[in-house]
Amino acid sequence: MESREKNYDVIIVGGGLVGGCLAQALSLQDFQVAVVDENDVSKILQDYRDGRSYAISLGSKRILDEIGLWSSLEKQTQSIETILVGSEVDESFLTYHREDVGEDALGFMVDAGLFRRTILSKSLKSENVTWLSNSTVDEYQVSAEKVTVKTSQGDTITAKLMVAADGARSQMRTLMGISTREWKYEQLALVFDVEHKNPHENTAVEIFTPDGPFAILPHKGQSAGCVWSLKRSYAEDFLKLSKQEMEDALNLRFEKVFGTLKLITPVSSFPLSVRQPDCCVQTRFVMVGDAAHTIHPLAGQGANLGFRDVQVLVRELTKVLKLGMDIGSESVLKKYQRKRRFDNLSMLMITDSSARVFATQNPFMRWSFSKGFKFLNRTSRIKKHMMRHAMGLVKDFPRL
Amino acid sequence: MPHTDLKEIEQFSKHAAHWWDEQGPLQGLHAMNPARLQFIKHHLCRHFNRDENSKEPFKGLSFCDVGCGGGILTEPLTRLGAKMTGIDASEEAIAIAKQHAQSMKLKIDYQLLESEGLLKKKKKFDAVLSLEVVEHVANLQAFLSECSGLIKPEGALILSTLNKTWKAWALGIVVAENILKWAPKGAHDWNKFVSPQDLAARLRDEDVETLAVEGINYCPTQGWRLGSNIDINYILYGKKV
Repeated sequence: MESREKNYDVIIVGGGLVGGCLAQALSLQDFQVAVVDENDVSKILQDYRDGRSYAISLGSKRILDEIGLWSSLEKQTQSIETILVGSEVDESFLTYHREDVGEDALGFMVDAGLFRRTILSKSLKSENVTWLSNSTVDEYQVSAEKVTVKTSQGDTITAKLMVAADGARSQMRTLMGISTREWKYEQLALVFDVEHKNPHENTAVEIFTPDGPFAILPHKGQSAGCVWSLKRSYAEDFLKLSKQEMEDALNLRFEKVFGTLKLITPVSSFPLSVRQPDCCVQTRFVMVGDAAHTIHPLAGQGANLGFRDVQVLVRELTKVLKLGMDIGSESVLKKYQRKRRFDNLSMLMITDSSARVFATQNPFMRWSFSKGFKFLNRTSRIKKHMMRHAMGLVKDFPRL
Repeated sequence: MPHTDLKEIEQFSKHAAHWWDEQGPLQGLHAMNPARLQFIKHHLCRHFNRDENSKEPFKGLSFCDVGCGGGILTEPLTRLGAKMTGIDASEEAIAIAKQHAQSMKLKIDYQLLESEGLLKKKKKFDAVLSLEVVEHVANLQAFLSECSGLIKPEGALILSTLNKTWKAWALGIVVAENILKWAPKGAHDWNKFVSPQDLAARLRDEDVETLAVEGINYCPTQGWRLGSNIDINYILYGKKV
């Protein structure tokens, strides 16, 4: 392919949910953006299926609305009006209802494939976004004034800022030599969709079982997506079961939730880990989404943290652009890092400690827990605050 | 050279290599820049009847940055569309400014000159800006007269400096230079600080009417911000009449 050098304001590596949203949001503010993505655009537009769904918080919905994506998604989303969180052992449940916070919904379930296609077709229409598909970063150079990227397709592009949105196993992060700290849970998440006998009534349920948390999230109609995080050895036993055996095992424990469950997809699995990079900015380089933080998926907060990254980054970059200043300067990136650190770390700690505490077998811990649950259910102020944080509605986080 | 203070120029030349280092000896200037630019953009957009939300609001206007140093202010104004001229008496600073603008692909006319020299070339600008310079010149009235002389009729002037208060001495010199190292040691001389009232009166003598003064204050959680407290750092907008 012919080599050509083009200049942009921002280069985004990774055109997934977070990278795509960032491109769209920046283009609306008149930034010139190049997206380097390893996937084939036409393939994603035609028949990209993922099987997963994302739980989108109300805060994320508002961000997506601002950048003009929500209206294209809205019709095909399933709203969540009630969330039940409880323990399998003593059947104590904490109920979150939309009316507790005076909102129309607590969150939404969005099909991953639909999400991806919507973002992509929107960015492809934007004059300010150049999408380089089937491309990876071959060479990367950073100087005090700019970054230069050579892609695997032979394109040479330069920009004032490089953003890595290339996921939990970020190639850019490795290339930049940013080390990460990782905790493995020795757990596998089993992921599958089910049909259920009774209507879900727009309810999402998270049950903490002694083996690990089980989440059942409503889809359109009488179906739901399930995520069951289990100890590795235990999960591997489940993976060996036949469809019928698996359904029996599920119904034995979870039939009371939405009635008899029937598997409608194969059971897939992925290992659970928490990963936190030592920093998320370097000279003219910044990370967003899973590249900047991988948390325990039990509360479904991963994508939501990514959208909040996008919101804060775009806001800071726009301020600087409007003043004519250098958008890749150290002070802007440091400001972004400072503003995001508390939110990201606190969500990591909340999900991590829930995962550990709920999985405990210690009877005293379990007893204090169910007491704590009942206390929380009655104490609406604390509960409301916790809900608003999880819903992405807590506006200002203390700066660290 | 009637009002250049050689010692002052030497002071800034020494730090020329660090002009663009945001953590370096001139970090104070970098940190104040967003607040300064916010004030400048707001008032100059109103002055020239431009839309603050457009990408290049200053397109078609010519500005002169007097005492531009490495171009910390000159470059952003260029990106906002202004045709910029930057002058400075320090050879080292002008060299850095030229080199940096080139690497940023910005077209700026940098000249190793003082306001007096530029005035002799009979150049006039839509606006003249001189930030954190007033407190370094030897002959203030002569300097203001030259700035005014560079402005077209109905044009605008922006100045920023330190107030002549004990607070400005305590914070601007003792704390900023000696403790926090936001500015190089010995960069400021309290005797050259001037109050906004005094500055406005002096400007009136040079046909410039002061229309707005705001403070630039440091808040530990939010950084430098514009505000009504003008006890320490302040920025002024005036109009040539």
